[in-house]
Amino acid sequence: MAKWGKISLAFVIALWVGGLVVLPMLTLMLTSFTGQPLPILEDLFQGRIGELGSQLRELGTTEYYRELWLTRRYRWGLINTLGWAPLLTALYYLSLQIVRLGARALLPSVDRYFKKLLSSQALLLVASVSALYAWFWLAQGRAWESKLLQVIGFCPAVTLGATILGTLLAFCLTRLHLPGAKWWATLALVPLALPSLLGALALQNLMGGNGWLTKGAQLLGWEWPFPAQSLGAALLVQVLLYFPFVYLTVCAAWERFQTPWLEAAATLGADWKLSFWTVYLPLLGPGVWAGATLVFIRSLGDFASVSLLMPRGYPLLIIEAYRDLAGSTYWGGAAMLSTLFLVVVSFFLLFQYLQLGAGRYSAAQEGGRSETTSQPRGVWRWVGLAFTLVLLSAPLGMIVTLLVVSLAGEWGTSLWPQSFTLARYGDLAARILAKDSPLINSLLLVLPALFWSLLGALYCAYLSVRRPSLGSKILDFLILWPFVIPGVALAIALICTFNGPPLALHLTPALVVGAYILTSMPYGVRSLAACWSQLSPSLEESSQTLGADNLLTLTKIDLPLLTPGLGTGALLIFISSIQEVAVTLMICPPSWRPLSTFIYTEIQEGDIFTASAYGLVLCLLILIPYFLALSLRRQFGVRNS
Amino acid sequence: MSSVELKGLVQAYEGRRALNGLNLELRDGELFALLGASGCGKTTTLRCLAGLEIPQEGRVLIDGQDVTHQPASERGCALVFQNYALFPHFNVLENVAYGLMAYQYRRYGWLGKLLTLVRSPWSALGAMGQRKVVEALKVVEMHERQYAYPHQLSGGQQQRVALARALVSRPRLLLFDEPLGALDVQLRVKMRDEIRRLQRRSGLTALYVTHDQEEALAIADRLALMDGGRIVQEGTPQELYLHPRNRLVAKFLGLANIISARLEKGRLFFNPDLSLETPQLNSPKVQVMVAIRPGAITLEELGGEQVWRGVVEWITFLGSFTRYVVRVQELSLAVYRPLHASDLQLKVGCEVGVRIDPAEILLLPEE
Repeated sequence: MAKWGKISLAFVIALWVGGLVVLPMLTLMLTSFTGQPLPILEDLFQGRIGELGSQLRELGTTEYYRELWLTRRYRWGLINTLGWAPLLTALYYLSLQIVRLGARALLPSVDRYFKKLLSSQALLLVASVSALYAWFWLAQGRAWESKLLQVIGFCPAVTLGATILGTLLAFCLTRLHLPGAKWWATLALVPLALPSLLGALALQNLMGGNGWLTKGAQLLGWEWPFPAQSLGAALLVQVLLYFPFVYLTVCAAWERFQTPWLEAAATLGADWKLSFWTVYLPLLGPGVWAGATLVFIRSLGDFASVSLLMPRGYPLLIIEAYRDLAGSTYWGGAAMLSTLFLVVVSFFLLFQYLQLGAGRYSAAQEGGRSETTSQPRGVWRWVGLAFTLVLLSAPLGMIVTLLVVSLAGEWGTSLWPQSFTLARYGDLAARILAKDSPLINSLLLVLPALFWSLLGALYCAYLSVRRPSLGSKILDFLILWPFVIPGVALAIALICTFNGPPLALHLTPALVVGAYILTSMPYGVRSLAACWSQLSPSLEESSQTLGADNLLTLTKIDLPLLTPGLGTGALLIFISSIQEVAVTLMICPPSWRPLSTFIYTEIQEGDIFTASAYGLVLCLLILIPYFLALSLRRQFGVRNS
Repeated sequence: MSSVELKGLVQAYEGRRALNGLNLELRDGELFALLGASGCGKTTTLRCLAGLEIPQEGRVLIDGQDVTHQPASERGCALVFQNYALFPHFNVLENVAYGLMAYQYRRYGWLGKLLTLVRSPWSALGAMGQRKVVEALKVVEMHERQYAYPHQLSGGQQQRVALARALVSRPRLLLFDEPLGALDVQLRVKMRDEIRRLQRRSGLTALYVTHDQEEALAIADRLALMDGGRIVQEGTPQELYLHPRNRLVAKFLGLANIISARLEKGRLFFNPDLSLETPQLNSPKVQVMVAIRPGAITLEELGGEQVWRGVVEWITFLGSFTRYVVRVQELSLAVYRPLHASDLQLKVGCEVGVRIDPAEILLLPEE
């Protein structure tokens, strides 16, 4: 009985992963060569796999990949997204790695030269040289803003900015002993819960035609120089929302170091500035990299903020991919761009694995560190506090703008609204009663996804922690996959696959729920696996030897002890699903429009007042459970430690 | 009271055999210690017996009944873990009540099962069960801390709770997996005696796994030394200590001096110049291996009969006794002397007389 249960569960998981992860990816790649989605599923069901081959031969072409360079908007999109300097450096890195593989086989002794050519310093040099080359030759003749974008690239620029801010903030909060450090540490997590959609909306409220800053400048008789729809605004929103990824990974890396290296450096005569450069940064390198990778992946997939804030003149890959399918149903281009996303993300992950995989530092020694030496004192400490305050108040400011704008009644040219009204919230409530509410739609779509996602995550976490095998590793990888690819690419893959019979799921709520489960399950698996791996297996074994069967052990021992992981997992699943824009926009039926896409269209239509009201509701929907979970977790942490 | 038989157990992890045809028999009511270095397979043996692992070959018999494939939850072997594995989210009472609760749960119908699932292990028990739990806590003298959570208890107290938890459900077997490994030396001796007392009192058959020879010798009725997934030698502590079968057993039981020698006509030759009259040693072989306990060697003034000339190479003060390393020609001997052995003043480099009692020399038959 138990055996059959296990086999059927494995079957469900295999069906799930095969149907919603592997098949769409396969269809996507094939579509990028054929220009139209092949009915793989239909052929599979009717046993006509042979026909697939002939269709492929008939339609297969590399035309769409040639278009990437030949079509102007694709080419500019690629360069604007990734930048000349990173592209050239990646090209250098890849070709050298391939040559190295060949050379190693023929002449092992040359490998050390390759090692030097591929070291971080060499890569940095190549990047700077190619940046100069791009600045003076490749991007010649363009306005400086556009030139800068082409040289650095949008996503690398966001990554760079967020990495610098996140690392500095981590340093301030771990090393400076600022007053109220605990509060700052909690505040630093707020941007993680803020959808970039709302960031874009807040920026509209501040710098748009009717924005605060614009009005303020007008009152003083100036013209506000930075419009809401600008490159700078898009960059600013993403950097401000993504720096906590780096902050968190750096802090986590710092927590793992139990050895007083900074103290050792201090006794050897290093002041805090020297030890920051020579000890703190190098030792936390892997943490910085891990955070930067996350930022890059998020930024690459962030559709809402760039589509709302980027001005017309700057094509980006993600917007072009969206337009190809949503605007004109140009399958070939959309699939090609989505495949390109897969390649870029894989390259980035591979690079991280190759460059950092070997260089992990281990710190097994026990013993606490004293926190007194080599700290910045005096004026530097105040600089740190000021930096922390400014950085952390930005997301709070965003929320405040939402509140004020959503309550504004009459609002002329003055800085503050002349009157306030609750009409928009009344309207929101009325729509709930009329059963036509984006809020209810959101919950109807997200809550089932939350349930199944958590259930699946529980089983996958169990497999990866308690039954590690090759199969569970592959499963782990496949489940993580939808997390790293941009939502637009995933949506295009799903549409290609489920566009026709036998499973015509496109524009049904079922596919939306499926997509939510797909994109959010990695959060659940990660947080549950992390929690589970900290539980000693001897607890479960001890329960078994005392006579408890699997169900009793699960309910009495595992689930209560996994509460922090379950809570965090559920919360992250909830947040990531309810703020999802790109996938929802592309596959959700209009009658099921949830909060996120409702806000998106309201902003596009220019009604920032209604958008702000709904935005604030979305924000509260995320932040209240978020802080509840944080405080609960603290309580649990005390009892279980 | 139960007897246990393990027959030809084989268990391999990734090609490496942790158990390699292990045979073992535990008699009714005895405390049997499994001794061995880490990685010798002793914990795997314990886990196979508890039902936490199913051996790839061989059978596990309890009271003559084959339980090899019976799951751990139905086998009734209470295991005390090295880290105690107390459930951190339950207090002392609930931890101890857990086994009785699980026993009830298995006998209930679906409604009873459901009711058990939603209540705490303590409140799911009837008055009888609750009395048993409190009594068990009194036996280990932990009844005053019954509402404490595990993280509020010291190592020794956690150990007591783990013991009570194992004992309360009247298991068929008590299993210990290095239960004293996490305690400091003083507490170890105390808890060792406690475990012995409780096991005697309950009359349960027990298997005790440890890598500490002193602990094993002190606690066991019988013990076995394991190596490479097999039993090397088993017997009472005295048997193993006085008649070690080979170098490994001798080494593990703290017989530090293991020397190869020639045995000819009742005389043991360490080299042509160094020999001893040993009429009690018998071996068909000429080239033999012998073990000499460090305490069986005495150091004295030079010049007596049957006294060898040695040089002190190293001195370690160990409190109640002192350990010397003395070189006699090419032999390097470890010697223990009690604190007030004699007024002989020894320093590194001193010449000293070395006397070995021939009756204390042990022949290792399997070398």
